[in-house]
Amino acid sequence: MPDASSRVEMAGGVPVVKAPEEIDITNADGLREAMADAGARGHETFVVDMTGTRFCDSSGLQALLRAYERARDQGGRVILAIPGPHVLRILAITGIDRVIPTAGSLDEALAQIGAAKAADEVAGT
Amino acid sequence: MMPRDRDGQPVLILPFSSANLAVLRSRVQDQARRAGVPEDRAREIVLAIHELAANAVRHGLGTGLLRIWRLPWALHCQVDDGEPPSGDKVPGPPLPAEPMHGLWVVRRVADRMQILSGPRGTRAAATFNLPCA
Repeated sequence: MPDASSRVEMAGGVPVVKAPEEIDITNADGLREAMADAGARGHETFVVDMTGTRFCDSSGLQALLRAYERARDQGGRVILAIPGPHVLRILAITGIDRVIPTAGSLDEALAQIGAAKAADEVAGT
Repeated sequence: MMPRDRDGQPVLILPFSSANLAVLRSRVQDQARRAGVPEDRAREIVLAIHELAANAVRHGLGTGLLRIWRLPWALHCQVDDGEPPSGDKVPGPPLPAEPMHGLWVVRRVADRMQILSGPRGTRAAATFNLPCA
């Protein structure tokens, strides 16, 4: 039985939400809570690691979109790490791929966050 | 023209609740594969039928019945919750406009879709054309 829960780990000071293999109405609330936790720990800047995710239904997409909007409204940043075509296709069907930034791997997502933070620091000095 | 029960036996009859949605997805994927649907399209069909079932779990009685018929040109699926209306002239509620809504996803993916609502239940039907042989 695959792990259906979502959990938060830190990677180089950035919270990473490890999304489950399949996201649907039975565990989307867990993902929502994990993203709220990650937002609180990372000033609304975090990565959702969907590298092990092969299915995400509309309840999961809604959770992702709400978390992204909250982060954006508070000056944060959310990046979805999605390597394979399965979840990307679902994002394309719903148009979310044009709203929430994605990266092809967790490392790439963390690099994007790091680059954005560095740019913010330069701009802030 | 929507097929009726008398038009042949379903290739899949599966009662569902929130407890077996993952099983439902896997069984739908099997049927799509057996019907010769390419892998990418099969995943879209799995998503759409899952959304119909999830909608019944969320907004209906919490349980439902999925049936899939294999027609010469299409896979046709019906998701019933409660006691759906027997007549086929009862219009369902207007389909939601927000892209994130499950039924919006079904409408986007299915070749045809219809929802019949009555006081005691709902029948959602969707048809997915098969690739030409």
